[in-house]
Amino acid sequence: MISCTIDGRTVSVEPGTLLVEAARQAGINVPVYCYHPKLAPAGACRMCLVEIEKMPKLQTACTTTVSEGMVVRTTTDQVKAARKGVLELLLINHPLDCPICDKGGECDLQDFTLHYGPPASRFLEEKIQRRKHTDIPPFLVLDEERCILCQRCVRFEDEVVGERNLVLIDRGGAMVIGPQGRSDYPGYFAGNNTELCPVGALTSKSYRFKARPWDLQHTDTICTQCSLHCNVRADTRHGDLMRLMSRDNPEVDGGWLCDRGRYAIGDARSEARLTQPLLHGEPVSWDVALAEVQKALEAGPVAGLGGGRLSNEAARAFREICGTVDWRVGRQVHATVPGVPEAKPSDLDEADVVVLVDTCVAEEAPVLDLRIRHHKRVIDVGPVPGMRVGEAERILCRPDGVADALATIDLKGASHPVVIWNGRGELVAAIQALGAPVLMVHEVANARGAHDAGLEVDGDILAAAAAGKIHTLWLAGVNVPVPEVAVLIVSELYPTEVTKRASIVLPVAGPFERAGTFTNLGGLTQQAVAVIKPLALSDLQIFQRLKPAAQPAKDLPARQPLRVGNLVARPTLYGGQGNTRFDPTLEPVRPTTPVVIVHPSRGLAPGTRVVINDQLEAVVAVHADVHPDVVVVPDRLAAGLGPQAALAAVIPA
Amino acid sequence: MIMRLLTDGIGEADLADIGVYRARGGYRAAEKAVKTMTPAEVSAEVVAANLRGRGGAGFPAGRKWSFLPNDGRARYLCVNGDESEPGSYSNRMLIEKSPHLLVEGVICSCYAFGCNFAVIYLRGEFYEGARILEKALAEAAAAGLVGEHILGSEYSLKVLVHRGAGAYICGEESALLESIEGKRGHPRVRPPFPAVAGLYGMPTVVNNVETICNVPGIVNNGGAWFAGIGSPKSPGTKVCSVSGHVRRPGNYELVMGTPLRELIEEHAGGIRDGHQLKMILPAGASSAAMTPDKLDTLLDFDAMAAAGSMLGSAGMIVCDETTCAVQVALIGERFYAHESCGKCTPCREGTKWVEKVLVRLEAGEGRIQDVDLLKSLVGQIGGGKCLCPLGDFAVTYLGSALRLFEDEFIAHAQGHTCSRIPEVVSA
Repeated sequence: MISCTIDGRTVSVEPGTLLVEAARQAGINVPVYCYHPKLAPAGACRMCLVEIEKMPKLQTACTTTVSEGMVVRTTTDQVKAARKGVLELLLINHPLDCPICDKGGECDLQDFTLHYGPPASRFLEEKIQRRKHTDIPPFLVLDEERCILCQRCVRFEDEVVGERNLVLIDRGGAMVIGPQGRSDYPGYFAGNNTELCPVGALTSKSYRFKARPWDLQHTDTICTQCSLHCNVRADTRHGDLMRLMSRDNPEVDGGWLCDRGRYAIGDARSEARLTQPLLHGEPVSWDVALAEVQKALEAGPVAGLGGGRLSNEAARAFREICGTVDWRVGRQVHATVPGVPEAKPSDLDEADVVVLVDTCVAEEAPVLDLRIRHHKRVIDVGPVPGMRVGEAERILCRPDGVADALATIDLKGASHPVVIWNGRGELVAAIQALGAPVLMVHEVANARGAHDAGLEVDGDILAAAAAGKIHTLWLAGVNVPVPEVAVLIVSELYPTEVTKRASIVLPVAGPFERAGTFTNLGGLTQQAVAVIKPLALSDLQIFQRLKPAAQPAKDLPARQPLRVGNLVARPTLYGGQGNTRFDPTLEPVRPTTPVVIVHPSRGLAPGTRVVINDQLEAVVAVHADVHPDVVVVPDRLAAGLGPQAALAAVIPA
Repeated sequence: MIMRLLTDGIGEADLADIGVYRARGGYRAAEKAVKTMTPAEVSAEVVAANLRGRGGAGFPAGRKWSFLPNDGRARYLCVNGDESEPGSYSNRMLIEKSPHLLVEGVICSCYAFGCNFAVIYLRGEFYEGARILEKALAEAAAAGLVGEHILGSEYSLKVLVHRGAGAYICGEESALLESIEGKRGHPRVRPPFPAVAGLYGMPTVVNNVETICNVPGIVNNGGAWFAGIGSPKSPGTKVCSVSGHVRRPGNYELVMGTPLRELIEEHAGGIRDGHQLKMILPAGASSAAMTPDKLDTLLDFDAMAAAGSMLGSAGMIVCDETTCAVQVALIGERFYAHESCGKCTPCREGTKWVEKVLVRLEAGEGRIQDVDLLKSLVGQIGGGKCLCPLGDFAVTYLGSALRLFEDEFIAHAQGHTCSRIPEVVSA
């Protein structure tokens, strides 16, 4: 540790600490615009100039590392004059439209001007006029006049996202930020830029003109869109959810949110929401509905499917009520790999080799992907590329060749290898053989919690239902084709294919309407908090009002291993998981026409309309890095082909 | 005193032809260095010569080379030929008229600090210079002077010519490195300095064209010889580019320590007939003006600094009494506002503002407060407030003019016409 003195206060810091951070530790605020603890120092805004003894000129606290015995002053006349000078320059072309600016009330330009700025401007000339509201689809709006060119967004896109979706354009006084060579933002992390922006230049379309910061109530909770469970602060106004902000948890999200997590909140008060129980399609009271459920639970063999949406507490209650429950309704069959250590998201930062086992992290847990995009060495195994951005060593193989491909990898030379897998297929032994810590990525948000709560059974519940061995089948947040049963209970947020067939439909509280704990892909259990008024009972409240089933289903037919053919089902970020199907905010990114990806050797031109297995119409995209044999189909659509669909025939329409 | 160490033969022989250059003793230094000296010996001569950087800062080249860490990483040389300072055109002459001298300097320098890859960075407008230099490099390669196993030795050197896209900022060494890497010409945060993490993160030396051109002479004649020429603390010669209201504008290579008066009155032929000297901007548009009372200042790094200005790249802009100090400021500020890279606030916003105030003054629409406003803006932009020296450069002349010619600024602010003669200015 080394010590320095800032405004008379002595503070001890780690060697290499930046002066601005040392000041923060000493309780002294040095104003900054370009500096951000998650980005490399830029020294661009010149707001943080301070006086350092033995240095003739003022120095930027954001680029100066503390040295032993350094004596720093941040409140001298010279420093005050410098801050005032920079602020005056930043304000000359700023529109000062604070009364209509979303950022007003939480704006660093506003705040610092109040604290350190000049009382009036000496600028007599006309302000430069720029574009006031440039739409950057799908989520952002840019006000070029408000931008102070701190370049945080540009550096975030370069250093963290690695895609340069926003760049600097032109030079000097003409310089602006924006997308280069296109008008939209094609990445998954646009919203972070609205938080990084110290002024109101980059704002969210969904939050624009909706609230004033001082009207907002803040509640800390977690996002349960995917299995990573990023920490968020939910901002509500008069009981309505206005926006989500990041809440840095180094073990989980590193301070970032993906756009699906941030923006998929627009459905909370959707008209489409189910709010009243239905008995054979007719609205009934909760008392009537729950009495019917209880009757059904006692009328014959009972089984439940689901768990991905449920909190840990609700999952345990679900198992108690139904007795026989399985969360595995999609393609994922393993929540953990026994016998090898479990990796945490933060382990990726230390990892020297990352092995992607037929998994596309960017689509399944985007914020986790930020930890591997800049990785020195990624080995990407599978028929479809797993990296959206960044370099990887590709081991291309057929869908049934993943285990053999894994056997060719030698991790003995690696000091901190991490294997990432989405639990699909029978690869446990092959992964165990790698001998490295494994980080699972799940296809449903609380798969890990459901697994820990014991929501797994030997045997196949759907096959049992098909064989007539189940009287009452309960689907909790699950929408898959099911066989005819005597009583089908569906607890769900929205009308789906299965609610239409259900004997009893129970509406449930939405993701921001219920409390509970959730366990993420790294095994971390965190608390979710109810932030808005529920429109229905929560899953847990429903189970708490019931008594356990008299006869949980038994003697289930064996679970058939997933057939492996040429059909590869791939999750896509906006492909319809969870409530994304119903959120109007996500309308612009929701896929309209299904896209199937094939190898160029099939001779299909991009954009060709095709029919798959006489059922599914789609448009072809061609990718040279997929295995020549495979047809890559979005997950949700693959489910429509049936749970065991493995072969895809592609016929031009 | 004129002494033609670097400009020897220019204007007399086609030095761009390798045969002509060799016939006059060219590449002797490269052969001597590579065949008979160790790298350490070459470095030692450059250190002994006290060769100070000719790009403007005057930092000793030998010491700069010694900052390269001995950690086994590859080292690079980037020769700064961005020469964008208004009023400076000495590098351009050396590149176009004596390209082999530069190539030989690169060979000797790279050999001295163990570098196998050099980039000669030229400003985008130096199309002709790039063509001539490429040809010279091809000739040198054909003669076995660059490339693999130079002159049959174990030493190999690859040299690239890279033209920028035409930005003043890329003369700043870290912006130059960014530009070579294909990035936006923005200065980097320092530390790390280029010697530790420069081009592509590798230890890098950035030297000016003229600095490198001095190295062959030092290798041939020894560091002690060089150190004995001119001012003790600024040995050697300096190629001075004189422009403006003199009879014979042009490049003059003078021994360091020659009085400024000798350059202006003898070599450049004095001020044009019937006029008197008003001021000299000795290091291009970004230097503090010097008035006639400073004419006896000696041309070296320290004496010029002591006189309140700088030697810099010695791009001397000479102005007679028909020149308006305010208009010079406006022309300069228009340039800086256009060339500001935009990375940091004071330079990006401040130069634009200063330009607007000066436009107003020039148009006779100023207010008396504008003089104080300009002084205050000089303090807001200059004095090390910016990320790179360009911010200081942008207000150095203005600051000096506000001191030396305040009455002209006040007269403008009061709406009076200035002392300049309009028809002369437009001529």
